[in-house]
Amino acid sequence: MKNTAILLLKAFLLVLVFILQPTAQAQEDFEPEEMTAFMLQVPHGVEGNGLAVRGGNLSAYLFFESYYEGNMDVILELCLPEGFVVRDTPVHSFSLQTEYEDWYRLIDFYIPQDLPSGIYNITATAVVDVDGNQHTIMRRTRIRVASKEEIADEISISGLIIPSDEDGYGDPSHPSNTLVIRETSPVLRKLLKVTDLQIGREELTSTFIGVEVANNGVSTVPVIVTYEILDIKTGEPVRAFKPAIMGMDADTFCYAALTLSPGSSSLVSLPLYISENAMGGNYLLRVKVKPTGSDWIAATQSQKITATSRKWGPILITFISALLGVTAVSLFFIKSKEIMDRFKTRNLVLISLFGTVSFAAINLPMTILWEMSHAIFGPFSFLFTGLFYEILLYMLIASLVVLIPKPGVVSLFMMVRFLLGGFITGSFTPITFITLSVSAVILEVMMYAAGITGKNPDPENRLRVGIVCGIADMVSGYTSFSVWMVLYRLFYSNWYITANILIDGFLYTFIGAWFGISLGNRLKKVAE
Amino acid sequence: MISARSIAEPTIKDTIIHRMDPRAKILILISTAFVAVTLDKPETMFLLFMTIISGFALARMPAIKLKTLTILLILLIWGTIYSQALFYSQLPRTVIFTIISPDFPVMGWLTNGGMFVYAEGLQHGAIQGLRSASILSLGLLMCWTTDSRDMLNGLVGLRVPYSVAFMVVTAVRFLPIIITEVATVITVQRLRGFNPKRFGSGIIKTSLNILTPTLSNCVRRTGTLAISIQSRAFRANTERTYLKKLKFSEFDKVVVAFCIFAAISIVIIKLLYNMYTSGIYYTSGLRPVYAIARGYL
Amino acid sequence: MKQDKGDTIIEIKDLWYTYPGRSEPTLRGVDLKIEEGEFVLLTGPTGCGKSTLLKTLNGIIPHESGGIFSGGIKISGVETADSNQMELSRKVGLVFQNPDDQIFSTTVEDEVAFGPENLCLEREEIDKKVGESLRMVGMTGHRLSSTNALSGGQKQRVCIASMLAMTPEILAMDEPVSQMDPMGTQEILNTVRELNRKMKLTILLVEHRLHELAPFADRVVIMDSGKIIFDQPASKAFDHLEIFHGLGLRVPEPVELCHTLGIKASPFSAEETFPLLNTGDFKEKTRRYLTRPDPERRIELPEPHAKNTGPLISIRDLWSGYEKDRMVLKGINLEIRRGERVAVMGMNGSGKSTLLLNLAAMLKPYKGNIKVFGEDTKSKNPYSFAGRIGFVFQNPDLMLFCDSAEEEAKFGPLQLKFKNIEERARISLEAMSILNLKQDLPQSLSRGQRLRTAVASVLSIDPELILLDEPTTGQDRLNIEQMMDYFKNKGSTLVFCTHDIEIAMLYATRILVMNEGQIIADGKGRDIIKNIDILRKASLTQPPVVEIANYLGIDAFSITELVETLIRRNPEAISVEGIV
Repeated sequence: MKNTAILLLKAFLLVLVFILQPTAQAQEDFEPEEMTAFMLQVPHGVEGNGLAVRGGNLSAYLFFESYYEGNMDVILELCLPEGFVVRDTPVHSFSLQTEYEDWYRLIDFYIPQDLPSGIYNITATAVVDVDGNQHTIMRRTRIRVASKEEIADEISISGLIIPSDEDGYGDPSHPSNTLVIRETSPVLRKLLKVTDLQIGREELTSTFIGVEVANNGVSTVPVIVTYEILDIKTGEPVRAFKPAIMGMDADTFCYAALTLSPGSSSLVSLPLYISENAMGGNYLLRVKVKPTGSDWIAATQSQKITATSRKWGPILITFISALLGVTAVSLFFIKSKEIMDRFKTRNLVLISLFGTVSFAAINLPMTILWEMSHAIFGPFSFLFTGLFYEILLYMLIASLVVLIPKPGVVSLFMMVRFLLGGFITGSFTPITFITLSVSAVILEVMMYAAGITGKNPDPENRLRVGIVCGIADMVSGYTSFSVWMVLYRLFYSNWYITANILIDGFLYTFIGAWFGISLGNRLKKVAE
Repeated sequence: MISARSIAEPTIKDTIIHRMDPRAKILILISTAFVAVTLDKPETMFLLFMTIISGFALARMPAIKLKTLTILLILLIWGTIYSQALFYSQLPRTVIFTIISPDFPVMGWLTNGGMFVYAEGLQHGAIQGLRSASILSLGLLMCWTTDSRDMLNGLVGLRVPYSVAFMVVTAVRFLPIIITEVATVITVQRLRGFNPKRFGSGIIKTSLNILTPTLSNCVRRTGTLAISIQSRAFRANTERTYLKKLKFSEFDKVVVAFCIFAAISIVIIKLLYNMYTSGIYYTSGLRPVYAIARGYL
Repeated sequence: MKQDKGDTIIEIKDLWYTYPGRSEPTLRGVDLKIEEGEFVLLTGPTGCGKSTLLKTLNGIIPHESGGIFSGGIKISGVETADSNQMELSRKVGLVFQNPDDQIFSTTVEDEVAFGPENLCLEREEIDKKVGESLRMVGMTGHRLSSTNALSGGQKQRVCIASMLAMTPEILAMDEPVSQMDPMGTQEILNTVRELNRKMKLTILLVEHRLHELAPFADRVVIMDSGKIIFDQPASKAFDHLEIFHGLGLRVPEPVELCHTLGIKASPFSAEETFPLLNTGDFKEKTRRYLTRPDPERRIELPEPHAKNTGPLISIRDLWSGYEKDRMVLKGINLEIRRGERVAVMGMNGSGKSTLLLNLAAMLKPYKGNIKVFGEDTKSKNPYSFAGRIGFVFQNPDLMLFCDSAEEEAKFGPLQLKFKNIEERARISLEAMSILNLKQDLPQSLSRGQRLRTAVASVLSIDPELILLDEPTTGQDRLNIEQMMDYFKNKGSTLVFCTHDIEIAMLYATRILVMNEGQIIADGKGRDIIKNIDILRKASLTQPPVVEIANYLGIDAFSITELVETLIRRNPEAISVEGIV
């Protein structure tokens, strides 16, 4: 009641001011409506017919600008309906010195839960003092206070487009509801930068989500649109899709605020950042619309999305090694006469017999043993099978090189193994082809470079042969994992791959090659 | 359980599969391998697998071979299931068993956050195992229905240099002999009290003990074999003639043409589709192609 | 026997050859002329250079081998040093000891077609050549067979055919029958004889089994230390037995017998011997024999009874095999006592090796049971008998894997944690007289030394039961005898498979004859050897001396025995009329 009395008093005073005004105005040639701009938005961003949810925190926006060349003092007062709780001082005074100088302020207020629904008037009054003459300008707006239920019926998400372009429009060049996780190794990224082959973005891959929000009500609604990407089973948010960017939480960027006029709909785009350690799979994208100032979600929509992981490293390795294999084989086919002529018939026979032994002592027992131990020890079987496989194989290779230290001997051996495997167990598979050819090419090149084979061959340096074989096997091991991942869509943990190529690829191979040299020396005496 | 012989030996019968030209079989196998690594749709992968398996019925494979095949397939698929159950890295994934807990000393750190068995991984492994299963089955079908000699003629027919073919023939021919020799070597050592199953450093000793006699024998054999072969004018001419002439039947031609066409089409379609999904290349004209890839491949 | 001789086809003049890396020449001035269509048997002790000589014929030496070469070889007038390998390979076909080391193809047809294909013949011609060559060696029916499925003799015939397909003028063969079972040997020799007689093919055959081959040859040439020391027509070759004895070469038994009996003749077979024994001269000679000193080898009668303990091995109704529907052993019943030396004889595939593997618990019975040392093998694996059973395999090379012969001998005792390992090794190496080689790499020893090393490696364990799988195949007789003598003197319990009936007669206390997975005869050698039916089933033939003894109605199994018996009888009573 007391408030009402004050209001009435103020109104009376204002009327008095109005009555007295015209004489002064005429005198000084100041026209308040022409020479100032005064704006009131409640809530902020809405000019007239705003909507507020009960229990929401809102801000009223006051803006004042002078177009007058002289000095003016302003007393500005916001007048909220009864029941609204102002969190701030509603009266502000300031002075504007020159033309185009402006002043603005957001005044927070709270709408209590128990305030009755309905339309409320809000006014703002500015008393402008120019050279001692006072002018009063008034602005009025209406706000509708409604319950959550009432609002929920009015605001809806009418469309969800993922991925979208920067404006939120769907892009037909990208499959819908699909995200691509481009995983690039630092090395590869650098390489791509150098070669100008920009496949991924610098740090984090990003795309956009287009959200269309509709307002079917009669009030203008300011809303905040946010989203979450959830584990489809547990419903937990997945951090990999909300990575911190430059030390800031992604939530600080990943939202959109918009104002929906009555009976309209509007499309916004939200940025989506994907960190490198994001996993592929199925997720739930949940988009939320909150009336501005409220934590309450007015509308939500979920969409199942699929994230596909594109690891460019393995893809590139698979591609390069397949190319290498095909090139090596083609070269061999073209130059087969020259290559084969370097070998005596004796050499060829010996290589094929070594191939047979490798098959009889390794591949055949392995066909069963490998799978059996795989079935029992699972992925850790490499610790066990590698002992046989790598040690025996590299014993054979090293001893063969001791017996025939010519470039090409390893390739021929590998070729016999590959074809024999194909003939006997039908393993003409891409994986064997790629792995064997890569390891043959690398071994040949490294052995030649290290002087193990070639013009003045020195195949008996255990350390050198061991290291060369070890490195070659590590590379071919890594290649084969890449091929498994790319062509066979299998998953392997990085630690597992590392352990595998270090232990199987290097350690066992090194041991095998080391002892293979003594074996080769022994066989050399047999041959003499 | 299954002997080396049951894996290695072809069965000689007269069926539509046996009669096919070895070159045709090799080409079909290669095409199928391409298809198998290209497909993603579980249903289609299963269809491919079943088609290949039906080949075994067509070839009227004996029970022992079917048994061998079954065992190999079960082991293979189970192996994939096992590894994928542990390494599955897609979401959602449900832990059904913890092998190494993340706070387990050393191992937890080594494994970069523990090791679990994921339910979804089991399923993924089973589906992806179909790829290798298809290739393995077709490979075995090819081997079991083709004499190694015909296969070799097939390779020579596909422009593999004769010297290489010669080496492979030699390797194949000596395989049973060397298998017997390896078995003998192992037996000898067991009778002399050596237990080759012992783990650790024993493996190196075992490997050397097995390889030394076997390879010595090979080295010794090489001398005679090489002389015998040389005395039959091996590589005396740059060219050589062949007694056997391979013949592509009309049926072979049709099947090979179909397989190669199907393989090339599927690979191209999937390639385009993957370029589309990776955001590398898109054109609206290819929408039907994308639809096919998404729906069936 | 003689062929129509044509021109000189092989002419070797003062040929010297030293292998690369060796200081001593292997061939030291060889001079040899062979006429077209001749069948020459080249023999000599191990390491005399006969195999090397063969390799010079088709230019492998010196074209392929390197080394120091001097002198000349002309093949049909063409100097090999000036000719190329291709040309020479069409003239001289080479066949070696082990057919398994010569066949590289998986089918017979491919193997035979290989040569003509390399010569770029037309398809029709290749086909014809393959057909013809296979016909010549009697293998027409096996054209499409897998090479791995053939018997040893068949394989060797394929090797010959694959040479014949190149239509050579000369067939040079390096011990082509030394690894064959009796049946295989027969097949090969008949084939070669046919080729020589019908096709007029010149044959140069290197073989130390002179006694089996002499009947086929026109000429016998003996080499020693890289030189030719003897060159005579076959009919006159055995006039000077001392040369053969001096070089440790065995001569045909009938020749030996006649010479012992003082008959001046060299018959090669029992049949040829019968008329010679009919002469009046014979009595005179036998009387003179009485005054002659005892020949070096005395045959000992096998011990009549084995040691009187329980059986070491007892087998009841044993069925065993590699596949369920194809049993190799079909109902074997057998008992072997300590101290027995049992020879297991029979054709390839009769189940000899399978029986041995069962004894070592390497194979398990499908039905029935085996007790070794009183223990049922069903619950045992080979480890359980490690140290108690010693097994020497056919190919001793597969048994050698250590760095020295000494380590080889120590290996078993070390693994079995025996005491006095050093001593065991020394004793076993000494027993095999390779103590001087104890530091050598076993794989680089000679063939005979490798066998002895392998045996020493088993001996050092001192097993209670020794199993030998065809130890005689491809080995010099001297090595075999040394090994068998050792076992005999030591009183070892021995079970051995062999094709060599003479070795079986000499060393076995008991002979088992197997046929199609069953034991068809089990008894003392002297009883078995008389049963021609049984022998035939095992593809064995009676040694000529037994035939002769039978003919004379004498119970004798060796020349010495035969002669002794003859002497012991009243020489007057030996009249052919009385026997027939």
